[in-house]
Amino acid sequence: MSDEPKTPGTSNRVLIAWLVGAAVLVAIVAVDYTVHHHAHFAADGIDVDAMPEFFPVFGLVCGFVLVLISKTLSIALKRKDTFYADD
Amino acid sequence: MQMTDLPPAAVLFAGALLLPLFKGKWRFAVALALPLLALADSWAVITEGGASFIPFMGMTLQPVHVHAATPVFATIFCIMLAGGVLFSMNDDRRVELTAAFVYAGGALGVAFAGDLVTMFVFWEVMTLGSTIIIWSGRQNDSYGAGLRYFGMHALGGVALLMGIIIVVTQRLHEGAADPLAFGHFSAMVDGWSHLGWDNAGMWLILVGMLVNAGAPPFSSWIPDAYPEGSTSGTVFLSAFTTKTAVFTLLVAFAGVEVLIYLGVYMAIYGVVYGVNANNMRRLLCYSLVNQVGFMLIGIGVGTKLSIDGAAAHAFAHIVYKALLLMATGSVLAMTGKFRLGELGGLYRTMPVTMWCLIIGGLSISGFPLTSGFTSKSMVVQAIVDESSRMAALGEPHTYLIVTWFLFQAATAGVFLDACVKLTWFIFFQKDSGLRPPDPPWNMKAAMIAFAFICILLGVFPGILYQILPYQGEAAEYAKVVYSLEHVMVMLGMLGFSGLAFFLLLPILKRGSYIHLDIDWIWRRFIPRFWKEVLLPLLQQLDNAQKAILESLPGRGMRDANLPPPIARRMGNMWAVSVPVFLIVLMLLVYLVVYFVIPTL
Amino acid sequence: MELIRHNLPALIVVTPLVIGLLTSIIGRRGLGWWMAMGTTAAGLAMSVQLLVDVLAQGDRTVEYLMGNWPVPFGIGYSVDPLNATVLLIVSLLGAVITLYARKSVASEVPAGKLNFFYALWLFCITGLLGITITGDAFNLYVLLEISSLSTYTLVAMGKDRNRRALTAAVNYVVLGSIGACFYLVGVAYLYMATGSLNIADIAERLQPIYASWGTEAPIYQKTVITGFAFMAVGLSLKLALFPLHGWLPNAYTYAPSSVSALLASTATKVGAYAFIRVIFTLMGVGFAFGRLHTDVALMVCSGAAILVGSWLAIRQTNVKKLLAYSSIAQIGYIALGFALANKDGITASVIHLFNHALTKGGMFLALGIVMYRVGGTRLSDLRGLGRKLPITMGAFTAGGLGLIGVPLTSGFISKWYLVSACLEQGRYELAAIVLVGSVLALVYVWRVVETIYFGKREDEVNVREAPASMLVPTLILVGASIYFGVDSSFTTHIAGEAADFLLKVKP
Repeated sequence: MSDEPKTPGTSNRVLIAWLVGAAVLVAIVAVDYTVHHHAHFAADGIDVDAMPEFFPVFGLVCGFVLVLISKTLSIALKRKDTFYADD
Repeated sequence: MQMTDLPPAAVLFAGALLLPLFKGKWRFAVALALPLLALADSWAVITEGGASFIPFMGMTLQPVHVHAATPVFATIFCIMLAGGVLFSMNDDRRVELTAAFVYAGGALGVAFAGDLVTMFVFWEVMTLGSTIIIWSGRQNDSYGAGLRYFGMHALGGVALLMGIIIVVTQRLHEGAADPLAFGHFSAMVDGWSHLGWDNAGMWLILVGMLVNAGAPPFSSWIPDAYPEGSTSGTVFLSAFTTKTAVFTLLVAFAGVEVLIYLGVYMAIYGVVYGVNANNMRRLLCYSLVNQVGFMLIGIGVGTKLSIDGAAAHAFAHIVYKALLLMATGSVLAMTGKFRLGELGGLYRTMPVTMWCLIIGGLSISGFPLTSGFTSKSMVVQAIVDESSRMAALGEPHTYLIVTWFLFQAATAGVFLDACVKLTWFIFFQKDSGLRPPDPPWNMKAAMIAFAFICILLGVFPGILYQILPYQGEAAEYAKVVYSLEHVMVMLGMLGFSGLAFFLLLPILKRGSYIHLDIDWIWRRFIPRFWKEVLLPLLQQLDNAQKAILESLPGRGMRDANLPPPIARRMGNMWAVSVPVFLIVLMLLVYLVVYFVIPTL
Repeated sequence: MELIRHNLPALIVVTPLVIGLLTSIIGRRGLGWWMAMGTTAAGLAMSVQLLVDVLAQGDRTVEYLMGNWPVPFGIGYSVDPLNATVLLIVSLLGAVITLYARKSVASEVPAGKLNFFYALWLFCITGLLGITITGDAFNLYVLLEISSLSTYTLVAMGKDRNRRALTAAVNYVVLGSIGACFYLVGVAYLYMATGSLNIADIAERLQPIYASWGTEAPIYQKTVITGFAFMAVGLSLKLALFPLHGWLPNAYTYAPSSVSALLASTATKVGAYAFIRVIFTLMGVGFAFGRLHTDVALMVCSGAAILVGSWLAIRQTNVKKLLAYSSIAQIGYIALGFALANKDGITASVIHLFNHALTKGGMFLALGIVMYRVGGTRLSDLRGLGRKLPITMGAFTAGGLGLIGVPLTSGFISKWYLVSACLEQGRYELAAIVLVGSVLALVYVWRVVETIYFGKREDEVNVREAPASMLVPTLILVGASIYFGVDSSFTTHIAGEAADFLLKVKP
């Protein structure tokens, strides 16, 4: 976890939880490397999804992209939550 | 009278009538028993293959009919009602409970509707029941939100009714054997893409159903109205309206391509707005739209496997969405707070709620060993299968490939949004100082029961697969559902979208904001336009008209001749002359019509 | 017995006339209502018998000659499925509303005038039944005046509640007289051309006249057509078809409650009947619609009536007036139905005559209860009455659902046929107007229902549910309007018979 949040009173249990999370991610990467992925759309010559580690990367990129889209939209569409109540 | 003569919906309507007669424990004993009785009755009818006919305007109504998808939906509607009743038990909300029975009865009625009129009647019964549930929420804006909800659904209902009338009329003219039949519009799908008067009826029916499904541009009613329900009310609301719409779309419009596009839009919309949401229950409403989007995609693809997937996903979704709303409802009930920014650190004192929320969150994202995995992956697989089938035939199918990628992206997004973000902000992040206990036993029991179902269906998918519309396909799919490849796809995607959340945490600060949606047009723009542009304009016109009238000879004198109080009291004497003028005008019109038109 | 049965067509009109005369001269107070009640109940029995008799006839008509004078010299009464249905509507509503009227009228009209009131009440019903049953164009005018004159007075009797009843009545007198006068002028033109006053006879004599128009020497072309124009305008006014609805809202609003209910449920229905009769039987539908394009004028007027009437209803703050404007819209539906001139359209018209009479009658009766208990019918008077008068307000709400056309109410059946008829003619824009009308109805009904159930009262008036003598008739009418929405076999049957009859007599 590159971004350890500054939670006051971080106990050992929470630290263990973070470590377990990180371990799981490492394990996923490791196992995914050994698994053979079929290309879902081989008939169309698309085999990007058969590459090792495609889905971890896809998940990470999608997470980033969706959050960034949301935040960009938010700039324009953000209103105080009493917006409609002001009428 | 045999059990099979009794429409399952009638059991719940009887419940709605009976419940006010009971008090305290007895009421809840009855309220818990009735959904189970309705479930038993549903299955009696389903095994019997039940069909009853009632003559209506020279046609026949079929209030008890078993569609292929009826077993799944009837079962989950009954289970859902029972779970919701259990959850609401500690809080004596009589009106809401009665309305919930009416509402669920309507949903069950639609699931068994064999004709369009029955379907429509139950459809409107649901609108009534759900509106009352929203109103009994007694939140700040419950009344206004309920009104907007009712208006939206009334309009949707009008479109549906109009469509039904047109379709039935056309069928009568064609001499169809059963003009009221509610089934797949297969005969009309050929000329589908062409939008014209001859299939206007079908389009109107589709629009009516889509309004209830929360499809664009009418998605906003879900996050607008549902968070205004009470803790238990929102649980009821989340289950029936959209899923009944999914059921009807599944029956009538399976394989209609436009549903795929709408579904993709909803899936992405739900995530994008969900990321920005601060009200925890509104966030779940956005993810509800996202999940219904997945179901629409399944219906739109229209293969047997994808229809199974959509139906299974509706079943699984009702359970885990109710679970999530129960968990957030418990947090709301125990803390009185619903903004994510005001919560945090509750893991210390609400462990049961936390684990239930996590199980619900994992299910909604389709994590292996949860119900979401075994249901949603069917739709994913169906997209791939259909794409390769069409590739073999050489038909255009790029849209399916794009759909698949966007589908997976939305899946990753919903994990980030409805699972990781929700859990993090409610139970961890900074310590809010709140130390509420877990909720009362009945709320815990309801949550644990639904969490159990989520895991059960994840571990033993066969239980659900055997009541799906196409059991053969489902059984075939059961063999490959837990392939290592499937599992690793999900683990990789979900794990790393979760990582993305923590990496982006600095920009995910929560403020007390809402985000504008299309409903801005009718909630803000039109009222303002009326108040600030049209109304002043009309007043100007009014003034001009008055000035013209004042300048006419006679009027001023007439008014002056009467003492003012009487003039006011006796009304406007001028009133008679306008109608008389109109009479003469109409005579002129008729004379013109009679003498001029025939000679043209 | 056989004598009575043979003379039914005459008795049904003469009985209320004679009893009405007696009522106006008897001195004893309180007897008036009993006489009216007995007469209307007998009238109901007679009209049911008449309908049964008509449907039993092979040619679906019962002819009756006044004093055995043969037509066209004497006055002939002729009953067919259409006017038998309208007779049933008038006498059914007349009987039920009379049952209701006793307490309501006693509270709104001075005790000294009660007998006079019931005499006029019976004259009004006489006129309405007479218009419906007569086969003579001039006799129709006479009966029209009988009903109208008594109606003007009945409306004016609301003056003790609100002085505006007087202006409303004056307004109505002026416009109603012009309407009747126009009709009479029309009859005179036709008499000039054909030398006959019997409707069927005129229709027959018009045939050679029509035939001559394409030729070198057209006979009476301008005379006949001008006559038709006068009749159409005169009857449009009686029917309160937009834009000639000006007299209606105030007359309905300021009349005593029972009178509003009677007028709303029967008077305009009879006007609609007379219009249908003139177009289909007298002018001949092929000629009136095919050559003169009356249907176009009617469709425009009725479409506008639906939209404008509903729109104005939304803006009202007096619920009685709101219902009056809603009636203008509903008249639009009725006129639209027969303007389409196909079987579904006429069926829709006739069903709606029946259903709307029940629904609107029931709603006006429910409002009468509000008037009786609370003393006013403005929206503010209805606030929060859902708890105080649950049965009355429940009935009002059920009636409101009927106005919208919710399935399982009778309004749905009418609209179903109407939309079918529009689609059959390929008139999608009219179908859309019907739809928009339903949405507008939803809005105005909702405004009232919201006030009834969610409005907060500032003054905690202690009102009780109405007495049974008022509640029962209200529930009968609203209950019937729901019943005929669930089981529409009776209404669709008689309306279908009427439609078949009208379309068969096409020249």
